[in-house]
Amino acid sequence: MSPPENSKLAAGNSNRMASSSEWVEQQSSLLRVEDPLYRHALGEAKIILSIWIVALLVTCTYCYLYGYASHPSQPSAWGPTINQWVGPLKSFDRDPASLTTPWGLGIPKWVLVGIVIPWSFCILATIWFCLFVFHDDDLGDINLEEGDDLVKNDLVNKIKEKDSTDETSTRNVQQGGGTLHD
Amino acid sequence: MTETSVITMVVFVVYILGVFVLAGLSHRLLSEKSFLSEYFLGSRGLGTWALAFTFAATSASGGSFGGYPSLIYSYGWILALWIASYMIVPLCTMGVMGKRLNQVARKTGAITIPDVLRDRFESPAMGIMASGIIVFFTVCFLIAQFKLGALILEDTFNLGFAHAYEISLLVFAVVVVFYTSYGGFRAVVWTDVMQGVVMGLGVLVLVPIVLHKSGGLEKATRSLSEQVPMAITSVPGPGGSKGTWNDLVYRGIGTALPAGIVYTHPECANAPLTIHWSPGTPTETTSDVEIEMATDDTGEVVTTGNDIVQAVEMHAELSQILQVEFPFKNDQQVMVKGQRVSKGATGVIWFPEGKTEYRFVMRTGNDLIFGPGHTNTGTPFHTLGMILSFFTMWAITGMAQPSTMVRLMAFNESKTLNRAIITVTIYFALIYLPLIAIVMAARSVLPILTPEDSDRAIVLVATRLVSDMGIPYQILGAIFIAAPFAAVMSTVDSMLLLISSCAVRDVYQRSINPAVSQRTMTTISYATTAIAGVLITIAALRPPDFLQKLIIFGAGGFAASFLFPTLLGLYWKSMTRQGALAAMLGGFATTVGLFMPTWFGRTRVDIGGLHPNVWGLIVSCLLAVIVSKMVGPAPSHLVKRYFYR
Repeated sequence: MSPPENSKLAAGNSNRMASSSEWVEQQSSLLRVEDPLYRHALGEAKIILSIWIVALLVTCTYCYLYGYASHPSQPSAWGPTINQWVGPLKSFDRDPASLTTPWGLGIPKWVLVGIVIPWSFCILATIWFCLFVFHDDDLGDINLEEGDDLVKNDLVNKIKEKDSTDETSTRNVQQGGGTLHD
Repeated sequence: MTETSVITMVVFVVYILGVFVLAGLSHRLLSEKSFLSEYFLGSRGLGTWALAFTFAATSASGGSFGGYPSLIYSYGWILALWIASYMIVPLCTMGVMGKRLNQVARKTGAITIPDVLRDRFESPAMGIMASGIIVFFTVCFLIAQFKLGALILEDTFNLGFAHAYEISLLVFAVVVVFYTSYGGFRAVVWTDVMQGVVMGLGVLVLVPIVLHKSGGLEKATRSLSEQVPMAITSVPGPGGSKGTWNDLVYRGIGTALPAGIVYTHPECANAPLTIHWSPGTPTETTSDVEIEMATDDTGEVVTTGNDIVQAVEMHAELSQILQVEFPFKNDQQVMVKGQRVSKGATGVIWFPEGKTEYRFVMRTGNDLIFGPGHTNTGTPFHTLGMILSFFTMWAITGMAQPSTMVRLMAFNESKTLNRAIITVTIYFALIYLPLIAIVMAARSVLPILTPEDSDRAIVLVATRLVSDMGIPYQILGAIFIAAPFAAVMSTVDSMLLLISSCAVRDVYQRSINPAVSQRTMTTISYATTAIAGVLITIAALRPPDFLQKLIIFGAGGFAASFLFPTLLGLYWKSMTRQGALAAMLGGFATTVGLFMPTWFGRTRVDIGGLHPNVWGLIVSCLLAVIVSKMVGPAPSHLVKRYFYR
């Protein structure tokens, strides 16, 4: 076998070894426990995005149908548009005489029903989410090796404080006083 | 100086002093603690109120008190739909990524967003690219904010002298750059809390004042819907700059009204000023009034706005159906021979090479009550594509703004985030909806503003409506004027810090000189913030007309570049470095490419009627998934580190 072929084979072997070791590592990682914060955050993100989609459908549909004086459906300078796909919706075109402002608030009905009320529901949904869905996860420790020097300093200070407290409490115990530790 | 100006000035000075005191206190902390982490991240120690208000104040930029009210003034109630997704913005922008981003930033010790991406994907290239993109869009964003800051100072103190805008810009820049450089992140957060309170208080205070002065929202909405048709012509003066004393307002007072007003360039020498108008039958509203400009020996237009006013007033038929007025700026009073007179439209109308006409439509009051709203040239404002785009934009693009993401890396525990989401949700509801009511109610008592001047709407609301009220009201009005100023400052300081952190941490420390001393780092940080401030001040000397355009471009560009690399990086185990790089580059290129025609005076590319920002997100998402699938699997040690215990 020629030297280049040898090196090719060696490279192929090492690649296979690398990929098989990666495979083994990947499989072993699957056996590990998923980070609970990741799992919770992913579930929460899905719920939030679902609420957003519902809000989008309700508000955009209602307001486009009941809040527009005309529903332009011509193509733009850059080609066909989504307006064309929906159509002209002539029967939904509003005229000035049709303006209603419920309860004398001065807010057009299409704004009140299509935006203000859904907005109120979104506030309630947010409070529900924060109270009943959101997990109070531990955010974890700060990596001290990658530049967060402040944290290092803070920790060093805390350790020093703790040491001095320990010394004091030890002295207190030795002197028959109370201890600061549980 | 009027009484109002003295009170306003006192409130402003107290406010600015408050900002400086907070910066001073923050600087003391800075000298006691480690520089980098404290200067750029406030030691990851934000509590609920600090997180809520710094997040809200940074999000509620000058756009909220400048661009947004300006659009409400121009397009009316349809802005309620334009801003509607703010009902869900706090939950989306803080809840989707907040906890996880904070965790990953802690895990890696990251201080900035490029830091997070660089570590998550083990790619220095990613860090450098992210920093470059942040600087690019931040500069665009900041130009708009600086302009608004200067306009607020100019209007608040009635600075009518030459170069008033430039001097206001300089004063604004010096104040904001100084306290940001001096105090760092903590000063920015503390001032954000103060500014957030000022903003909220300002809006809540102004609502009853405006409703009282305008006779209530019901009356205002009704009178707007019955408003006579109107065309606001805003044309450039010599050299192409708008707002050069030549704009006019045409009010329809008859029955057979024209569809629009057309200014034409006859393209021949020594042409006289002529008007063409054929009224047709009373039911026809399709014909335009065509006004042909007078030209000199060389064929250049010599007609001024005042010439047009005279010609229309002397026209037998048009004088019966059209009333020509001056909008706000041309209506300003100047002293001539000891007498105060309207400045009038003394500017010459200018046509760029190849352009032969400007057309403006007559808009009815109905256009302010129902969608889609129209520009003064007749283009529909909020079409179906835009409804969907903007509902997506605020909530989804809001997730990936580096200036707010970095705040999500700075809170101390999950509970803090939880409470802050509720706080910001209530806070936004108290600001954005009432702002519509304020501007709609005030519109009937405000002067007519051209699109170029409509960024002044909110300041005029506060100054004009309280000028004849008692001193307590004037103090409240002054607080409200401080609100947009606070909004601008709170965004500018965060953005300046963002640029500085990119240059210092991501480029210099992590790519050029990792062994840099803390002293050098401090000097570079101060210098970068100051240099960025100076450059943006220079750029803001000639800013664009609508602030909101720049703000949306910047926000959309950030989202297209950062959303999917970050979101999928946090939640998708198969996301690879190559996928993230492709998503970032693809999103950036798509957004910039589709916006590019606007830099050459053309219209934006809205494919399918959707905003470029949405296309930026779509392209970025597709590239992230396709490229990651193609080059995968993701390195197992990274999957293990970020997704498993």
